[in-house]
Amino acid sequence: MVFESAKEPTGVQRLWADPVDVSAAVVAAQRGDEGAFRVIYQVVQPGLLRYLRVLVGEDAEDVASEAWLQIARDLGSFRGDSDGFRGWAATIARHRALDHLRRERRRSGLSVPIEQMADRPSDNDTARSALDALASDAALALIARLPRDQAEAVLLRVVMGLDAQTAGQVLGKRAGAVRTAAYRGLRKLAKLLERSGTARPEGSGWGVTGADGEGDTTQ
Amino acid sequence: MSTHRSHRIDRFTAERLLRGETAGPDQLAKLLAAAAAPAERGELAGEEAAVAAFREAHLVPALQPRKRSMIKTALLKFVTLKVAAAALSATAVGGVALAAGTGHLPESLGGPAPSVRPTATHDTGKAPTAGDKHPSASSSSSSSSSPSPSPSPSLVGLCRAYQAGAGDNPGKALDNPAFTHLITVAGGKDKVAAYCADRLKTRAGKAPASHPTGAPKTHPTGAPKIHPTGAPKTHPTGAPSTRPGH
Repeated sequence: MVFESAKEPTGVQRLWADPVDVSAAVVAAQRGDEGAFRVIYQVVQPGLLRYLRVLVGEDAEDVASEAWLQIARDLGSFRGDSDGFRGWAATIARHRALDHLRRERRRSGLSVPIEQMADRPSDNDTARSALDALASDAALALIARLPRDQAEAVLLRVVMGLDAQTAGQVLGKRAGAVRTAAYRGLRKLAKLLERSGTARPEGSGWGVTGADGEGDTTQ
Repeated sequence: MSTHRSHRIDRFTAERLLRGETAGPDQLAKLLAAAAAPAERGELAGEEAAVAAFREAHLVPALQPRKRSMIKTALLKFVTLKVAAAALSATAVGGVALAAGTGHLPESLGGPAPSVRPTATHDTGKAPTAGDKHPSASSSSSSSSSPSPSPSPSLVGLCRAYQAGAGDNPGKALDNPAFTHLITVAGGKDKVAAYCADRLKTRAGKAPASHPTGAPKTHPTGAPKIHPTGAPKTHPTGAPSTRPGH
């Protein structure tokens, strides 16, 4: 009865698909294959854009464009596998985002901490809509409420599909530090969700997840 | 199980969640799944702009050997003309050895042969770039069209140089390696004078406006032809199947 919900052969129920391997597409694009570059864009851009949304808010699309410009230009110099490519792309996007924030701050003459730049509705509103709509926008808005290091750690791992090691390279931290930041971020998110009042509507949902979780650890 | 009841998830559970495994509080898992959900329409809006940037960035390196060879050709032609003229006047004065003393000659004596060769490499040099991956009609059509205009200007240039300096001692002037190609094309040393007379006459009659540079003619051929080929082939592969998400 437990296994009927486990669609994947591994028996592990996934919250999202494993990141697509783009290493072959990267090699082809480096040789000038435009179709391969399109594949890379389609695979990597959604995560990149979501990561940027939390960093720079509504300017995310502009910053993503800047990032792709640089990715296209420097693609020839990239060496590495699929994860490496995602990390490389995320690093470029992050640098563009930080440049953007610096420019913005200089322009507005404000010295607002970076983590307060994005638009943020109140905790409860965002948490509730994140669950009601299950839209990535709402989820990102809630993640954006975390301190930036935690938000980035969570996003690089969940949205960009990086492992702790690669995420650490993007952030200039050790893998352990990224794990800790992400862990703290998840705990804070859980707390925000709990506080939103919509948490734990009834017990029914838990059994399924719990059973699956048990099933795959005990085999 | 008790950890599911509160926000106090442990590190192990957090790590599983971060890897996309179902674990921990249901709502947290849902939230993360929503954040990592498959692409929404608007999110790929910048694709064409990104591809345009890619084209710009990647056609330039792809064409660079060609471009460089074209620049080189033009440069070498220029050098060739100057050297030919210098060599010829030097010959008139007292021999090529004198010209060699300037120090420019060794380098430029190597020049004449390449000045012809790059024009030929246009078709061979191009074929790998285009034929390599897109063995389509466009590459063959452009490669067949581009080499033809370029030899003539350089020959015309050589003829001009020859006529300019050949006056006194035409036979000796043709000893200069700068004219090897001209001699070959004309069909022998003794035929160069007639060949060039003919060549320059027809050219003057036919196209008085066109300059013997050659570069503008070959320029427009390559660049636009390459990019329409690749895209459709690889396009329909990965992306759509990639993120089944739920």
